[in-house]
Amino acid sequence: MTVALVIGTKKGVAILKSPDRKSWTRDFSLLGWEVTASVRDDKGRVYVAVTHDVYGASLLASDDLENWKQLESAPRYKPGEKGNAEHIRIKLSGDFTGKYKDAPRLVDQIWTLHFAHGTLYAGVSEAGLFASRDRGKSWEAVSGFNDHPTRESWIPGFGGLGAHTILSDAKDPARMWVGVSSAGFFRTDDGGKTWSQKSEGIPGETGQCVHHVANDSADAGVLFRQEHRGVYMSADGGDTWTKIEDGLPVSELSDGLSCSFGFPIVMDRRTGNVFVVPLEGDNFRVPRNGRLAVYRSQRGSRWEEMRHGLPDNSYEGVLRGAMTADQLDPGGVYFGTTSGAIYGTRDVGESWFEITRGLPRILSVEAYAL
Amino acid sequence: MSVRVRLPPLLRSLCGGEREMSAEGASVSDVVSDLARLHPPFARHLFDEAGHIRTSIVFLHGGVLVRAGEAAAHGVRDGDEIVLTNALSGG
Repeated sequence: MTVALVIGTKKGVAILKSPDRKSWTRDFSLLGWEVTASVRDDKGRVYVAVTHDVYGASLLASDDLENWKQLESAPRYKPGEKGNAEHIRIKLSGDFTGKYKDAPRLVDQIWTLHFAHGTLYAGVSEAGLFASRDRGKSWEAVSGFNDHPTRESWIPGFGGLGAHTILSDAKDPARMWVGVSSAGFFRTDDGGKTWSQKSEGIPGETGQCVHHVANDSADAGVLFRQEHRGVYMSADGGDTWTKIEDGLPVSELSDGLSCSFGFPIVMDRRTGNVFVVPLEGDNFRVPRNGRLAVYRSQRGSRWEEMRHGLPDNSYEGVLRGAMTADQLDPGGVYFGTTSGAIYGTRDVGESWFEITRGLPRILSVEAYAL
Repeated sequence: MSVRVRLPPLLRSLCGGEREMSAEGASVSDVVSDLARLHPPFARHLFDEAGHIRTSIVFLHGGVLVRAGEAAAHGVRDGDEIVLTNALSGG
């Protein structure tokens, strides 16, 4: 079975294909666009989100991973919706005069795409959730989320106020989760009409800075969460969280807390193995002691270091969207670095190999079995 | 009035690689609106949520730099050429 990796980078999209997960071909297209996310629908069509500092965000789709066509529609806020001044200041460079105080809410980036129950979802910054029930032809705002009663208090993370994680429940179309940096992690049980913050058990004195969350949609209530302030698990749909850092390296954050800092967290659904890439705290964001390492846990049990084949003297990070699992047997896991290298495993993390290097900064990685 | 609009390389990938296109209008703003009407994928890249030309887009017309906020007041004539580009920064 051929595996295709759709690699979103700062300067275009790389498509890597392999019939055996050993030898890979590489193509590069959409030159000049930041490719921030991708998803495949149930008909095999792949969508990618692109953005550019000047020309804004949009979506393209392809049926063959070679020819991309821009969709005429993409998520967009209505004119006049009040924006988050701090987010706009981050995105539009320094503003110390307050001129963005009353600026409108803009979609400057599509952080994540998700397909579930026949609907395509997009999580965007400035933080919001949009849904398309016609495969991207038209989009509607999920107003229960976008106009959340707590929105006025949402604080942007380092990269802005972005909705970067969307999870769904295969058994219950009305239940979904959305993560926002750094507003928190929200769940709806009524199809998006109302959303509740789900962070009990996680310290939040400086805001709920969720970095990424993983689940198996077939057993959706079991969640694994890489937070700014450590790694957590919930067995009750996010109602309560327990720290799961046994075996993980910890480092000191800028506020003095010691925990395991990192960005991506992914799950091999067949085995229940969960993977993270710990980094050296929020001040540094590089592998500890230059040793690029992945850690693996069986559904929250003690973590094991899995770095056979990964380099020393490596000072590259791994962003939240830049790691994925192919869900094959045995499971393949792939991640891209901020220095443009792609690493993978075809034995659930036992050994790793470099697939390619020399790409621009890698923003997103998704794997599709063709 | 028909005006030729030279496109930046980034946007050419959205229109089959064409380097320039023709559009109608009496001002730079009119021409850009017509361009978006003729080629809908351009619209969201040229205009923001409020319907304004994106602030970092600039135009060159007859050797004159026209900023987004000046486009409506800047007239064009039949056969003119506009270069659509973006504000540059850095060193």
